[in-house]
Amino acid sequence: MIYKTVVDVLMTLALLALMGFQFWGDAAHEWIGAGMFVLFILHNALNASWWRTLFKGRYTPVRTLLTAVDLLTLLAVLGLMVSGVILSRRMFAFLPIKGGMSFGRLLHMASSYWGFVLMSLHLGLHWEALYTRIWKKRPGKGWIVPAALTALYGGFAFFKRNLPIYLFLRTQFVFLDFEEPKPLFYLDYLAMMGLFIFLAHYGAKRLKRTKERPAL
Amino acid sequence: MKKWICLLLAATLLSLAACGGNPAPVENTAPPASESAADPTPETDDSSNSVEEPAPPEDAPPVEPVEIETEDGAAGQKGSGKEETAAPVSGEVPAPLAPEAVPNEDAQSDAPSPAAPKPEPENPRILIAYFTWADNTVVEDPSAVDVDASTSASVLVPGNAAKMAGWIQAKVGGDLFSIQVGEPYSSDYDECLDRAADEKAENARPALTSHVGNMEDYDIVFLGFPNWWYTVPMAVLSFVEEYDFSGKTVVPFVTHGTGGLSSTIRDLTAALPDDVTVLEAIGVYRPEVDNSRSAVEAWVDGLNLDIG
Repeated sequence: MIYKTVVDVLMTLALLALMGFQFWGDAAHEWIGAGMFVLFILHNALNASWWRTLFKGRYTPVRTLLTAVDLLTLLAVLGLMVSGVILSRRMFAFLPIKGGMSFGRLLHMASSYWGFVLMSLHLGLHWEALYTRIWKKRPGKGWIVPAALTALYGGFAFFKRNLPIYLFLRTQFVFLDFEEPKPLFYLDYLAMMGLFIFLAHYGAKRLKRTKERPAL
Repeated sequence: MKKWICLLLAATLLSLAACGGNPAPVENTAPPASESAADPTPETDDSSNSVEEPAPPEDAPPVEPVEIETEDGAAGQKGSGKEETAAPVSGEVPAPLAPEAVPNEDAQSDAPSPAAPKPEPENPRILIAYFTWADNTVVEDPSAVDVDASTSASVLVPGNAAKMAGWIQAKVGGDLFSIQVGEPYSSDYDECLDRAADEKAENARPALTSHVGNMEDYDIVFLGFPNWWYTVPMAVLSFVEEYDFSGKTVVPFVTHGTGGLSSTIRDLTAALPDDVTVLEAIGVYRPEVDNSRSAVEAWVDGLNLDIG
């Protein structure tokens, strides 16, 4: 399924572009956001089996975790869609939507940071599948050290960049540094993504193991 | 093989993003030809002669720069009574004849002019221009405004930028000037946000009804405004582009809702000629404006302006 991989990689890149709103301008943000929406539909179509089996089979702890993160991600995506359309001045300007700007703004702010966290977790929970699909082998054990270091720095960046404040709407506006060099910004965002991939990937592994242990 | 295709696609998307992104900042300063035709906001054109007062009319003798100082007490000046007089600043006469500020001819100063000439002679001449929501909206019933809501308080005169402008004037002298658009913004936060977002997206230049008649006389221009959608209100760009700022020093002061200076200074600087010196701006969190007088004064001190 090469298409699956292509869509997943594109979504990851689009997410990073969208998080760096201040670097690419309003117009690009709208276009990439709309593109993300299309990719989201493709992603769901290509993984339609998730929907078909949602109410089937046994829910192991790992599957429960996966499904919970997936559903929360879906919620964030819906929030982003609704607020994105309200805020849109270009792509969806033809829609007769008036007002709701302050609501749309806050919804967009909260759901974008939740979306970033949840999508990274989602990526982490499916890390092995994606890795195997691309490299035709499972991720080696040697990854844990660089992964842990990345996650450590990611945790630092998470607080340095005030993400908790945005996630819980403790502020009205995001502080955007328009002058910051892009590499610095993306280094931090990649590391934060790494943090959640790390937590989800190794967390799910551990969950699987502890579940299996009593059975042995 | 497949992984290479993925990598290739990834690289393509990245470069696309880069290309798609780059024109955007430019758009801020020099609108693409296709859009620039529509720029001078059609909606403001047809109403440029609208007679609605941008602010509650004040018939009292308006030019009384001293009153600004009475307003210093700052802290809780939110009630509606005093402000009417405390804003000698707002050029409430939209008629094109009045707002010409001509400090040389002091005789004119009894006309309600937005730029109140300050008597003291200064070496470099200072203009303190500001754009504030309160002077650019119509509040039907000021007493009905819930002053506890931080967004609502902004619609009552004097606006946040006007308060800061008053403190700056008390410190360095100079003339006050309120930038006013022909078509007032809604006093409803949501509607105002909506229009501001449209104007930003269109890179519009709302028509102004207040004008500085003698801009060439000023060496230093303090310029105050709120952070709207991470940049300057488009009316500020209308103002900046109306005059020749060549060789002047511009000192921005900004009110914001936690977003900080965002892109305001960058976009403002881009709209100014290259030989303008833009000094370090101050950004004040909106709910803290009332208590920011000492911060504003410290900031002015720190600028090391070369004034008499």
